Amino acid sequence: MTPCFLGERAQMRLSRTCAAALVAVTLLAEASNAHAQTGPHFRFGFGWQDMSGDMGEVFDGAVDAEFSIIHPVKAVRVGAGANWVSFPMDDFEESWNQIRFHLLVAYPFQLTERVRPYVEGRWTYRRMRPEDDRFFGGEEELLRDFVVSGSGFEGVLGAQYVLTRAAAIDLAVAANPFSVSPDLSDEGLGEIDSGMAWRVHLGISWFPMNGR
Amino acid sequence: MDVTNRSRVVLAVCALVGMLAVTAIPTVAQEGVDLEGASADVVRLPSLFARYADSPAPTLKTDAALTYALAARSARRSDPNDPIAIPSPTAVNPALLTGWSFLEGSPTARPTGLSTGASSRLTSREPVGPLTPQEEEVWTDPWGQEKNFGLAVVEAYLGNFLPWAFNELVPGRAALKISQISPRSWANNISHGWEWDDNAFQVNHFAHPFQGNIYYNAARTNGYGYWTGVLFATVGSYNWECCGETHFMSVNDWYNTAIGGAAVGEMLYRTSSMVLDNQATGTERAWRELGAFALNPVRGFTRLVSGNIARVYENPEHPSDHVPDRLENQMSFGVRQASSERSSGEVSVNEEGEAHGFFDLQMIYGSLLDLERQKPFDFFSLATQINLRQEVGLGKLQIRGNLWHKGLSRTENSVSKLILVQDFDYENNSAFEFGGQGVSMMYLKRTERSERTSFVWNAAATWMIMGGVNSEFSSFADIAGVRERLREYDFGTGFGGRVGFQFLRDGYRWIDGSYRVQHLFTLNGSNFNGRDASHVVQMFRLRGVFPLGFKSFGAGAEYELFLRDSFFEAGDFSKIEQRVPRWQIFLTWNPTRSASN
Repeated sequence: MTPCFLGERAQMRLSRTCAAALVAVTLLAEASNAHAQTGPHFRFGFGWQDMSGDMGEVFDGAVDAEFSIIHPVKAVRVGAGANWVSFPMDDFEESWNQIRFHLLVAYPFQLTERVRPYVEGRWTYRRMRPEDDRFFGGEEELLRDFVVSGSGFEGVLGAQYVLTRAAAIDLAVAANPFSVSPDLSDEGLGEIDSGMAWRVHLGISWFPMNGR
Repeated sequence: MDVTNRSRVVLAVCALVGMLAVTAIPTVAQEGVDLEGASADVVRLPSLFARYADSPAPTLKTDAALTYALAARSARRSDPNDPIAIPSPTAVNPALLTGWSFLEGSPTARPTGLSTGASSRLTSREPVGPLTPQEEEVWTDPWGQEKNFGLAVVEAYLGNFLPWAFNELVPGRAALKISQISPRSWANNISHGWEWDDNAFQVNHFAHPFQGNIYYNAARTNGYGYWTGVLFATVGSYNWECCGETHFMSVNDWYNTAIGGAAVGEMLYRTSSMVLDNQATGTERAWRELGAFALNPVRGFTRLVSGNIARVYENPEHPSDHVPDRLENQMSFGVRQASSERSSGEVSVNEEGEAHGFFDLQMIYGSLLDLERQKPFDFFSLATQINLRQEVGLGKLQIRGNLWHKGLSRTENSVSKLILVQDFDYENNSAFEFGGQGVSMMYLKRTERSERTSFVWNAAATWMIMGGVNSEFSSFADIAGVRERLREYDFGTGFGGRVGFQFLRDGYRWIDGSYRVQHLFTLNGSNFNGRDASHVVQMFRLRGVFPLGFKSFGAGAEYELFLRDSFFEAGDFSKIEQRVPRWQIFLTWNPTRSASN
């Protein structure tokens, strides 16, 4: 069963290593039938956020970041989180900061498969402000505090690819019509107060209780 | 074939091949394995292990095999052919049980309705059923808290998210615009690297350590120990510096939050432990939980989420985990006055301070000389002072806690020890600012003169890893980015020493004296534009307390002297001296008094 040119000790070690490897391969194969994940989880991710509509005339797309805490309640998942992005402006060397909070309700499908789609509805509340010269190392802080804020509804289509019981890759697309007040005329940008935010997001979901 | 069936086939094939592989082990194949006695935790060892049992040095590499071989070596048999009785693998090595940790010491059972409580004894109020093996395996800390990494991370994250949300949503704070974070600000901060900041002394040397206490206790109250708490404080603080605000990352904030957070956090953890009582019920229990929540909100939150807040179960067995055998709380109320004289050559500036009221609390938790366990902060001393009618209310916060100790000698009348101490210093008043964090190696000796009197003295070499002291040229400090204010103190590092002496009679510290010298080489502040600057700080203190003979009240007086010699390459003054004498008279009350050291 084992190569005869090996010594007794080497044969023993080789055999035991082979047995352990085979068991490991078996476990990995068995893992393809993924377990359902329950319990609270966190979703971290980065994405690309852009705008259309009136706001889209002013702002360019940018990398955004998002974090959510999600908890299962019967068949759905509820949660809350925040999203951060700095939009560069078309034709200007300035940028606008957007802070967005959200409350979410999600419905997942195929809970025992490796790929698990979900749909998600969110109520969002955003605050947008022109950024000062902080990023350019200015000596004095500009205390001008012009803020526009408003709410909206975001629809999300996403899917999780289960890596282990504790982690999954998360891919999602989202659309978020919104309006803010006051409009941007005080900044010399016209009567712009609404838009549609689009977002593509790639992140990781972490189940700290190991999905139990 | 669907996934499940394919897996089963693969499993069966692999199991078959695995069995063949195992039987290919020559010695086992020849001599076989007898598992007849396995149900009684006794197996007949294959002769493979028996052979290694006679070997002076087992060479098997796997832990399990080595464990069996070692067990076999220690087994006694009257006949070489007798079966060798060995315990189950988990009995030989408890660490093989899931949930056990080499790092956290011996486990105690979980305090659930089906388990044994924080200690091995059951409470009379909790009828229990038979224990199942799975329940026995759950590790809990002495307070019955299972390790919960997820909840610890959530609490640490909330420790950052809530201050950020406060900065974003409260109008006065929002105007500062420090909450306008985004991936752009994160990348900007991380690529720029570490800087020094110009925050007020109380922000950098008190508020940041208090913030660090939240990260620390997120881990500490979820079943983890001191060092894991330090790691949480370090990572949590880095997370805030890079991504919680738009300021450049501040190295002084990171250090003060992480290391200071551990000192403040462990002090508050131990203090809240003294308030909690798992056996209390009703109104008393509610007040105790509220008190602990006020002292340590993170712990209150953890107990709320875990359900321990309302569960009646055993208290920790070891006194140091609950209420230490030796504990002294001395509260003082009185009047103090200070003056300041700064001079350079023939030029001097005098400032006379007004007398004002004060309140202070001094706590001695545990006894350094009677320490048994190597657990950080089984001993700590706490000294706080609240000044009335002063610009800065918190005048003093000093924490000293043990990290390591070694007994040197013990006779009938004396005992001495070597102790590694974590130092946290914060002094802030109208005359001077001095604080920081470091470590010291201390020699401590107590000599009993009679049953009623004893002397304690100590000598320590100190390293203030990062500290701050007021300085005349700090406002020129090299600060990158947006400046918020002109700083009035230098950041520095340096070595020093201190000695102390105490005379105790009937548990009272009648006389308590100390002297400290600390050198601080300026890292940021008066060393602007490449100039050198350094400071030598000396602090002398003599305190006498005399018992009044009723209700643990006493009266006392204290004299303190703060001296600072600063050396500069900047400006017209190469050396500036500051002298701050302070005196105070007070009444004391010792509600708990069993002073030792």
